[in-house]
Amino acid sequence: MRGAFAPFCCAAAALAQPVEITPPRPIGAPVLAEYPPGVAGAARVVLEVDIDARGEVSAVRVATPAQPGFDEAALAAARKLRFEPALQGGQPIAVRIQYAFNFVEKPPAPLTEPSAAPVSLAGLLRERGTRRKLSGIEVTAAGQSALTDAQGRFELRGLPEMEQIEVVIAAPGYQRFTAHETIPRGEKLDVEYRLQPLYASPYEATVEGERERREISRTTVPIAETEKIPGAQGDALKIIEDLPGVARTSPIGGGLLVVRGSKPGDSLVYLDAEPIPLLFHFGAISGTVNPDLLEAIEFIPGNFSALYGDLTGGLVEVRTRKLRDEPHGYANLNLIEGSALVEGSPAPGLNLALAGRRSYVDFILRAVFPSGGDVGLTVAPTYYDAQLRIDWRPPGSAHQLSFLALTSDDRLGLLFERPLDQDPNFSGSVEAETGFQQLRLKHEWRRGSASLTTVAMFEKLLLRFVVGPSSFLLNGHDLFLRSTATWDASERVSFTSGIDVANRRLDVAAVFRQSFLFREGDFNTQGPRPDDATISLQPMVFNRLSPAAWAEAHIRLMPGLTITPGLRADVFHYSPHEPHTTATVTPRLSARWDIDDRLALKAGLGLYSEGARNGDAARPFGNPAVLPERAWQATLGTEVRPLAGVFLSVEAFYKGLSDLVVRTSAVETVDGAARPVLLDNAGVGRVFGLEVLLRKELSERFFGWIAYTLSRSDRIDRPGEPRRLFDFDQTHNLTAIASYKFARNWQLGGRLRIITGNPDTPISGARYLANFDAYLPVYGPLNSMRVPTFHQLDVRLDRTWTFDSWMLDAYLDVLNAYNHRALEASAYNYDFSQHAYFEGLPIIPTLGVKGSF
Amino acid sequence: MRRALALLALLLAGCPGSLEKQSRVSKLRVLAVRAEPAELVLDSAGPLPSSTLSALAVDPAGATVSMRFALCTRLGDAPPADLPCPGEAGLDLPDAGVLSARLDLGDPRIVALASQADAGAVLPSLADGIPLIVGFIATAGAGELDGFASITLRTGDRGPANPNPSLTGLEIGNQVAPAGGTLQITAQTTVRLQPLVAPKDDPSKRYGFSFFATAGEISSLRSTDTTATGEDAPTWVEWTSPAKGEEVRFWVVVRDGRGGTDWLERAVQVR
Repeated sequence: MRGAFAPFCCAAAALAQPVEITPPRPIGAPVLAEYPPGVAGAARVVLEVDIDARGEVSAVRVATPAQPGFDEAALAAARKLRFEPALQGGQPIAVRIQYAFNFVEKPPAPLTEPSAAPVSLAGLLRERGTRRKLSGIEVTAAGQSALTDAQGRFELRGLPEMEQIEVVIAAPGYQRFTAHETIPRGEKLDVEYRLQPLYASPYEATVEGERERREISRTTVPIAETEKIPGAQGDALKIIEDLPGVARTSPIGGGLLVVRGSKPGDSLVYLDAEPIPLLFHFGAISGTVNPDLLEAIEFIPGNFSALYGDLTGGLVEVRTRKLRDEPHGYANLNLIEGSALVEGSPAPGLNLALAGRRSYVDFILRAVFPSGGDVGLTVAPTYYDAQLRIDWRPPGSAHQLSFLALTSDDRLGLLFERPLDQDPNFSGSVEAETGFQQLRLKHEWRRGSASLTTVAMFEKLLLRFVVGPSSFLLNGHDLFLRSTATWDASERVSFTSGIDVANRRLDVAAVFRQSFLFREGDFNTQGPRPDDATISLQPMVFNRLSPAAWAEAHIRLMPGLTITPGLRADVFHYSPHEPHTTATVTPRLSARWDIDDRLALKAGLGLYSEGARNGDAARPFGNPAVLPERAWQATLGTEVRPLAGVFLSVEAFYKGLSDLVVRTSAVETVDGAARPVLLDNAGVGRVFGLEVLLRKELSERFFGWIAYTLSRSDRIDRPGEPRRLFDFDQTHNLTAIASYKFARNWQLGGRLRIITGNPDTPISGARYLANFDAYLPVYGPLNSMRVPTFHQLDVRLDRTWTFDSWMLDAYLDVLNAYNHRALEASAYNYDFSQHAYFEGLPIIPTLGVKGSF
Repeated sequence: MRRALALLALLLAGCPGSLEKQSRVSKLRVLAVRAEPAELVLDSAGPLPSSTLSALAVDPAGATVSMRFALCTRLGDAPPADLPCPGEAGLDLPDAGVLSARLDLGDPRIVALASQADAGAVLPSLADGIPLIVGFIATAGAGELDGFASITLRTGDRGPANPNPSLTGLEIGNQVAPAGGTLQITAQTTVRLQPLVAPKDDPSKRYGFSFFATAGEISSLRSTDTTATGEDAPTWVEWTSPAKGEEVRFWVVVRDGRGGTDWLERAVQVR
C-alpha cells in the first residue's frame, strides 16, 4: 500500500493582495473612424490599445487580419481615444484592451449633429444568445443611419411614414440583419434587434484588462481561453498544470501544485488574493469554484512581489470577474456533475451571483458497484460546492464592498473486508471527507492618488479520514486580514505597503505512523512500512499566528524602465504547546525595461521564506525547533510581441534553497527521557532552468499556446549525503494547446503534453517481516531513475446553437485520444523481485451540454 | 490525503495483473515465524526468560531448507531494511531443532549486549514492552531469503506471556482437509478455504489469516475476523483449482496481532 497523508496539508496558506481590475472607460465625444477612400464594403477592425495610467493611448496595434485602408483608418481614430484610467485596487494602472471599429460603406452621419426631425425609429441592439448590448454598430434605413451608443441604443430620424422601409445592419462578425418596418404616422416606433454572431463566443470580451506587470514572471490567461481547452472539461482551474514551470503531479501527487521544482506546499493558489485551501474536488476531478465566476488565471512562478510571503515556491492567482448588470445564468450537465449559476443586479450599484455544483457519480456507482466483493462502497464519492457573491457600490461613492461566500465538500467511504495484500494493517473502513467554508469581505476606498483595500476572511476547514487503523481529524478555524495602502507620490514614484495577518487554529486528533507522514522524497517510494509504531494523538489544539508587514516602491527611472524594490517582515508564532516564535526579513528587487512596444527585458532577485507548516513545528508530527525554510530566487528574461496577438516569453531562473526541513534519526534527552528529534533544517537544494511561452491570444477564431520548461531540481537532504532529484523533477515539460472556431459554430481544440517521467527510486531487494507477513523493500539511491516519458493528446469538439435569448453548447471532450496508457509509477510484486508500472487512464470521452442565458 | 486517495485509486484500478501473487508459493519462502512463548516476560523472582523461534519455511521444489537466526543488536521497531542481521549487527542464536533456534536472554552475550543499552531509554518502556528484533536467513539449495521477526520483551505488569493462537483445521469446499491426508478436487473448481481456530483466550484479539498454495488462484492473500476499524468480517477466501491434475499444498497462518502465531499445512489432489 503506497497511501500516505500529510496532516494540515491543505491548511497552510497565506493571504495576498487583491487584484480586481476596473476596466478603463471611454470619455469625451465618441470617436468615429473615417470611411477610407478607395475601398468598398464593410469591415470590422479589432485593435489592441495600450492605455497608460493617465488614461491616454500609448500604443495601438491591429489584432484582426489585414484589411488595407480600414486598418489605417482605425489606427488613426484609435489614437484620438481618451479614457478614464483602469483601476486596480483603486489605483490607476496601465492596461491593454481590445477595441473595435466597424466600417460600413456609407459614412455615418455624425452623432454630434442631430437632425431636427423627430425620432422615427428607436431601438436596442443585442447579440443573440448572450443578449449582450452592442455598441458602435451602424443601423441604416431609408438613407438614414445611426450608430448604437454604449447601451446599444440607436435612433433614426425623419424616416418616411406609413410605408414599409428596410432596416439593415451589416456588422462585421455578425450575419447581415434586415427587418421591414412601417413607421406610424406622427409616432415613434420602438424595436429591439438581435444580431447573430458568426462565431459564437459567450466570452468574447470587448475589453480585457491586463494588470500592470510588477512581477516579472506573471502570465495571465483569460477564462475565455480556458473554457474549451481539451481535457479540462470546461474547468479553467485545470489548466494550471499546462503553464510553463508547473509540473504534472497527477495522479501520484493528487493535483498538488509543484512550481519550478519546489516541493508541494511551497506554492499556493489564491482566489481574489485570498488563499483557497482545496483547489479541486477529489484531487483533480473538477475545481471547487465555479469557472463561470472567474475572469482570469494569473500565474507567478517566482520572484513575486513583497505583498506575498510565507512561500518559497510560486503562486497562482485566480481572479473572479466583475458581475454583470443584466440577468445571466447557465446550467451545465455532463457525465459526472451538474452545475448552474444565476446573477443579476436587483438595484443600482448592487450585484448578486449564486452558483452551485454537485456530482452525481455516486448515483451511478451505487448502481454499478459490485456487491459481495472484498471492497464495499459505504459512501459513494460525492462532492459539491457553492458560491455567493454580493457587490455593492453606492453610485458616486468612493467606497465599494464585496462579499463572497464559498463552500465545498468531498466525501468517500469504502469498506475493505479483507486486508490488503500489501499491508495487513489495512482493512475496514476507508473514509474521507474534506471541505471548507469561507466568508470574505472586502472594502475598497480611493481618494485622489491614495487608496486603501482591506480584506477580512473567516475560514472553516475540515479534513477527516480513516484509512484502516490510521485516522486523522482536523477542524480548522482560521482568520485572515490583509490591508493594503497605495500612494502615487508622482508620475514616477508610487508606494504600496500593507499588513498581512493569518491565524490558523487547528483542532487535531490522529492515530498514525510516522512513515505515513509523507514528505519530499517519499512520493516515489513504496509507502509506509507496516512495522512502524502507531502513535495516538488525543485531541489537541495547534495555533499558528503569522503577522507580516511589507512595503514596496515602484520607481520609473526613465520611460519604459521601472524598478520595484520591496521588503517584507514575517513573524511566525506557534502555540499553545511549546510556544515559540521565529521571524524573517526578506528583501526583493525587480526591474522591467520596455524597450519598445514589441520588446521588454526583465530581471528579479529576492529572498523568500516559508514558516514551518503542515505540523512540522508541532509534536508529535514535527519539531518546534525547526526554522523557516529560505530561498533566493533570481530570474532573467525577455518578452517579445513579434505580431499582433502573439506573445513570446523566455525566462531563465535559479533558486537556491536552504534550511530545508528534513527528517533526522537523532534522539534528544529532555528531562531525563529520550525522544526523537524527528525534523531539523539540514537540507539544501537548488532549482534552475528555462521557461518558454509562445502564445497566440484569443481572437475571433483561434487561440493557443506552447509552453516549454527545461529544468533541474535537486537537493542534499543532509551534509555528506549525495545530491538527489526532487520528487517531481521533470527535465522537459512541453504543452501545446490550440483551439479553432469553424463556421456554423463548430469549435475544435487539442492539447498535447509531452513530459519527462517523474523520478523513481530503484529497489534492490527486500526483507521479509514475519510478524506482518509483508516485505520491506531495500531501496537504492533515492530518485535515481525515472518512469517513462508521459505523453497524451486530448481533443474537444464543441457545437453551439444560438437562440434569441440563450445559447446551447454541446461538447465532446476526449481525454487521452489515442489511448496511450501512461506508465505512472513503479509497481512491484509482493517481494519486490518483479517490476511493472501502474498504468494511467485509458481513453475517456465525456459528453456534456451547457445552456446559458 | 489527496495522494492517499490517488494511490488507492491506482491500486484498485491499475495494479498490474501480471505480477506474481504472494499467495502463490513457487520458490523458497518463509511464511511465518513463531515464538514459543510468544513474549519474553521478565520475572524478578526467576531466571531471565527465553523462547524458541520456529520458522514455517518451505521450498516447493523439495530442497532442504535451513534457517539461521540472530538477535539484532539494534533495539526498537522498524529496523533498517539493510541491517546486517544476521551478520555484524546480530548475535547468532543456537539451533533448537529443525528450522528453530533458542533465544535465551540469559545467554552471556545477550547479557553483555543489554549492559551496553541506554537504561534510561529502555527501562521506562519495559512495562509496555519493547520489541527485540530477530534477523533470519533461510537457505534452500541456491535460494536464500532473509527477514526479520520481533518478539516483545516486557515486565509482568500486564500478566503472563500471550499464548499463541491455535489453528485446528482447514475446510476446503465444506470438507475438513485431513492432516497428512489428501482431498480430491475437480480441476478449475472454485471452493472456499475456511480456517478453523480454537476459542480465543481474549475475545478482543483480532485474528488475521494468510493463505498460500502451490497452484491455483487464491482470491485474497489475507482475511480477518475483525477489521482494523472493528467490523466483523468473513475469514474465508476462495481458491480456484488449476486446470490440470496435480497435488496442491496449502498453508494457512494465523496471527493475533500481539506476537502470537500458528499455522497448518494441508494438501489436495486436483483431478
